[in-house]
Formats: sequence, structure tokens, C-alpha cells
Amino acid sequence: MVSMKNPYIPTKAIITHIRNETPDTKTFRIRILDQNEFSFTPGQFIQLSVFGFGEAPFSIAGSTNEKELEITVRRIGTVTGALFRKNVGDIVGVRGPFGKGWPIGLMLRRNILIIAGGLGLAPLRSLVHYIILNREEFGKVYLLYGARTPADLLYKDEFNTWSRYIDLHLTVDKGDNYWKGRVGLVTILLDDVSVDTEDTIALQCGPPIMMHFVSKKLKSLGFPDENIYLSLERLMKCGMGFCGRCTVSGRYVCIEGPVFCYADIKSFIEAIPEAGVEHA
Amino acid sequence: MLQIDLAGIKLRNFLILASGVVGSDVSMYLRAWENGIGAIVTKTFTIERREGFTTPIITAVRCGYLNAVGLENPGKEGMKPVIEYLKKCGIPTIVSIAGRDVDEFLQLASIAYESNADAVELNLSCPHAKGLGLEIGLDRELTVRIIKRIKDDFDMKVFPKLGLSSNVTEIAKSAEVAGADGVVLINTIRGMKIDIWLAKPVLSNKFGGLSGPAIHPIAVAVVYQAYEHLNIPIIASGGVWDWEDVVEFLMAGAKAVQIGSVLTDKGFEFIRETIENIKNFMNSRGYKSVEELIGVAHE
Ligand SMILES: Cc1cc2nc3c(=O)[nH]c(=O)nc-3n(C[C@H](O)[C@H](O)[C@H](O)COP(=O)(O)OP(=O)(O)OC[C@H]3O[C@@H](n4cnc5c(N)ncnc54)[C@H](O)[C@@H]3O)c2cc1C
Ligand SMILES: Cc1cc2nc3c(=O)[nH]c(=O)nc-3n(C[C@H](O)[C@H](O)[C@H](O)COP(=O)(O)O)c2cc1C
Ligand code: FES
Repeated sequence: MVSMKNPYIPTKAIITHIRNETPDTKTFRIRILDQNEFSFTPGQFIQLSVFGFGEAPFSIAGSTNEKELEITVRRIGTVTGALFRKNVGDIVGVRGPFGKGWPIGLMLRRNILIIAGGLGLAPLRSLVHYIILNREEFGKVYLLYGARTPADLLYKDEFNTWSRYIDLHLTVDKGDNYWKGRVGLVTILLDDVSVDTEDTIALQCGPPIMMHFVSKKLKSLGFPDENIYLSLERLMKCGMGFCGRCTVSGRYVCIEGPVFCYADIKSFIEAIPEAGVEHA
Repeated sequence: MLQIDLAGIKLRNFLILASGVVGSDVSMYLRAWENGIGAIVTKTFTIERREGFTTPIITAVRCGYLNAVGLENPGKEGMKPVIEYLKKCGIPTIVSIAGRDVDEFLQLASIAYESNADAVELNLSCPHAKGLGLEIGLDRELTVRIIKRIKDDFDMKVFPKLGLSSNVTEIAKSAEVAGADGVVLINTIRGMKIDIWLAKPVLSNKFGGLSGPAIHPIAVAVVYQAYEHLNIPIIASGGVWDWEDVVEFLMAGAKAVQIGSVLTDKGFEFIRETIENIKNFMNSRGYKSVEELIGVAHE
């Protein structure tokens, strides 16, 4: 008998905590029932199902050393809408973790430059937690994060802690009366830091158009293709390398990504403006 | 040693990428080609763009996969760029098309013809799309008319892809008489999985098509039987999971073999490894060319 991989068995899980991040974004803490731990690599994702409404992929945003898992979700459609109507104690389904995460092995003892836009910080938050837990294993660590407005910044209450361990820089597209920080797209933050392009691994996640321009800038600063990594988000249907819905540059985002080396998906990133890639 | 002439189309080997299993993005076709595939069958094109069914569209079962993707494709406008790109790369290109009637098939075939496709594969066998695929293919008279009209209007190879049915051999024979240049046997087989805790079918479409190891012996039997009645080449499809399965198909009488679901499980390297393993097998058993293998399981 041949046993197939990725069998369809969403494990039942219970929502244990919900936190409002921004007007349309919440972080859900979830405990898998009958399972004492949940192990994953930062950058991986899960398929979450709200029974009766369907299933969608979400990046794991929590810490690797915790028994429960966290996801940060923006309300956008059917599944996310149904999830937003759930309360603490309600049951959802979880499959995974899936995908290839950030290249931790490659990052050890190197400098790390993290660039995140909007909701793109979610898959990088688990990495930031990982770096903080194992701080001595990494060189200098920069986090450049941009959001549309100050109200759209995720995980604000953690920034103080993060700043004690890593070099955090923020920007918003549009400020408000209280905002004293930088205003402009996240690429401007690259002017604020001076990194050793030879010994730094750059990691990015954000809207495709952001990753296009950030990659361009990193290249002009002298980053080799092999030292740039990106996490892609594509609409997925099967999540198991079957339907071909998620492919870019000859690769499946669902099983070979979501984290890719720039060298492997260069053609896709370069073509983003012309291709008019529709979403993050 | 592995080259074949498939109804006049020269292929570097007899392994063909089955329709739909890597989606409809050319970059995936290219990757299969770089890994050694002999020819590409495109994802099935229909006249209008189709979004496909809502999730879940695929589920694993004990000895295979059940899918109801729903013939998601960009529609007839998407054909030309894909075909022309593949042809520019020198890749033998078989274009899968599915219409609701003779006229739709003719429209799609005409685009394939104008784009210089090597052949069209007629999807007369998808078991889960309403008004398309198997619903057409079970109508022998309609099948014959579609093939005749395409052969009358275009100087192009036509390979109907037929699904499992009790009279699949007779339909294949009628296809041959109507002018088909080869037949593809078989497609996925209709199936269902029920989630007993939710007490309802797992797939949003309820029914799906079963692929993978579960259907391989069935496909071998269909190919074996058809070989005894046909003169045109048979292209086998169904459940190849190892190089041995490919050899089985050849011995049953297939001239070329399509691979599908296995790529999801074993990756594109499967193509290269299969070719290597079959070469070794042929050398060790003293087969000098593929031709010597085809149909040897028949007396
Ligand atoms: C690897 C991966 C990780 C992801 N991680 C997260 C995460 O951490 N947090 C999160 O909130 N989302 C994440 N997503 C995106 C999320 O899975 C989708 O937004 C999902 O479609 C939401 O399901 P839904 O049923 O609510 O929306 P649907 O009902 O499917 O979609 C509603 C409408 O929104 C459009 N749409 C869907 N997704 C997007 C999008 N991303 N941008 C713009 N329009 C869109 C659809 O085309 C449709 O018109 C991730 C996706 C991937 C592939
Ligand atoms: C996800 C998926 C999509 C498919 N899409 C098509 C299609 O568009 N047209 C078609 O003729 N066959 C389609 N098929 C059927 C395959 O081409 C093949 O005939 C079938 O899967 C049996 O072979 P296998 O067991 O090697 O996968 C699809 C199969 C799968 C699994
Ligand atoms: S989502 Fe179907 S192949 Fe990736």
C-alpha cells in the first residue's frame, strides 16, 4: 500500500486568545487539540480552516518555543471574515506546517537585514523572536519595517523589547499628528543603515511591488543574488503542488516556497511592475 | 534508443507530461522539459476562462489523489502565447482542448493549428466538469463527429483522450476509423471521499477524479485490450509511480506514456531518474530500442 503525503486531515484546534492589531487585522493564538506542542521553522505557514467556509494559508507569526501557534490575519474575504466572527474557545482546523522557511542555517553568524512591508511582518515576527532567543548566534541584525499609517503598524507593543536586541527602523507612507518618525516607502530606510553587503543576508516580505523595488535597491548596493531571500504570497488552491495556481518562475510557492532565494525567482520579481501582480 | 516517432511527431523519448498536473504556467512546462520530458501536453483549454472550483479541490486518499480542479484555465485567449513560447523553445507541444460541442472544439483546434502546435489532445474524459469531458466522450457518435471535423478542417494530429467506460475499446476503435492519429488512455476515474466527522464530501465539487497508483492496473488493462484492436498508437496515462510502471504500459502496447500526479509526490527529478532506470533495464535485458518493448506482453 502506498501512503500519500499531505493527507487531508485538518487537526482540530481551539482559539485561546485574540488580539486586535489594527482596524482590520487580528492576531489569533491557537492550541492544537490532542497535541502538546507545535514545531515549525520561522517562515513556514499553515492551512487554517473555518468549518463550513473553507481553508486559507496563513504565515506562522508566533515563537518556535511556544506550545501554541499564532497567526496574524487581515480580514479580506470568506475564510478571514468567518474567522473574525470566531471567539476564544471556538474550534478551527489546522493543517501543516508547510513550506520552506527562512534559511536559518545560512544566517548563523552572519549579519541580517530584514525588510518588511505591511502584513509582511507576520512571517518575519517568528524569525525576530527566534533571533532574540538565540541572539549570540547572529551578527548585526537590522529590521526595517514600513506600514501605510501609524495605525497599521503591527506588534507595536513589542517594539521596545525588540529594540533592545536588534536595530529597528520604522517608516509610514502617511503620518498623523503624533508620528515623529520617518515618512516614506520602506526603501528609504535602506539609506539610514550602512550594511556590509558582503556578509549580510537580506530577507524580505511585503507587497510584490515593495519586494521589486527593495530588490533593485539591494542589487544597486551590491548584494549578491544568493544573499537575498524573499517570502512570496500567491493565491493557493491545493497547497500541495498540484493545481499549479501558485507557481512563479517554474516553482511552486506552496511546496518549494514560500521563502525563495532571489537567484531562483529573479525573473518573476523583475517583471512585477509590467505583470501588474495583483496582491501581496 | 529512447526516441520515438509518435504519429509523425519526433520525440526524444516516450515520456509525456500529462495535462493539468502542473497547472497552466509555461515556466512549469519548461522545468519538465529541462528535466528530460519528451513532450508536453498543456493544461486543458476551454473557450471561456474558467476559475475552477472553490477549495478544497484536492485530497489525498489511500492509493492516490482525488481532484476536482474544475478545468481552471485562462480560456482561448491564453492559448497562443503558451503554444508559441513552447514551440520557440523547441518543445513538442500537444495542446489539450475541451469543448461543449463540435463548434467549440473546432474553434479551439483552429487556434492550436494557427499557433503551430504539434497536435491536439481532445479532453473527452475529465470526469468532473459539467457539460465537458467525459459527458461528451461517452457519446460515441459525437466523439466521431468532433474528430472527423477537426481532421477535415486542419492538417494536424489529433489524439482523443478517452476515459474509463465499459466500451472504451469500441469508442477508441471508432475514433481510429474517424481519423484519430492516436488515442490517449485513460483519464482520472470518478470518485468521492466523505469526511465522516463533518458527514459530507470533502471536495467542494463532491465528486473528483481519482489519479495515482490506485488506477494504474486499470489503465494497464485498458491499454492492453485496446492494443489488440487498434492500429494507431496508444498513449497511456494513469498512475505511473515508478519506472517499472512505465515499462508495464509499453509492454501492454503503449507507444508513449504520460506522467502526472507522481511529479507532485516525487518532484521533477522523477523524469530523469525514470529515463535512466529504463535505459539500464533495456540494456540489462537486451532491448535495443523502445519499439522492441511495445506490446511484448501480447503473444
Ligand atoms: C504562504 C502564504 C502566507 C499567508 N499569510 C498570511 C497571513 O499571515 N495573514 C493574512 O492575513 N493572510 C495571509 N495570506 C493570504 C491569505 O491566505 C489570503 O488572503 C486568503 O485568500 C484569505 O482567504 P479568504 O477566504 O478570507 O479570502 P477570499 O474570499 O478567498 O478572497 C476575497 C477577495 O480578496 C482577494 N484576495 C485574496 N487574497 C488577497 C490578498 N492577499 N490581497 C489582495 N486581495 C486578495 C480575492 O481575490 C477575492 O477577491 C497568506 C497567503 C500565503 C499564500
Ligand atoms: C490536478 C490534476 C489536474 C488535471 N487536469 C487535467 C486536465 O486539465 N485535462 C486532462 O485531460 N486531464 C487532467 N488531469 C488528468 C491527468 O492528465 C492524468 O490523465 C490523470 O491524472 C491520470 O494520471 P496520473 O495517475 O499519472 O496522474 C488532471 C489530473 C490532476 C491530478
Ligand atoms: S497551490 Fe496548488 S500547486 Fe500550489
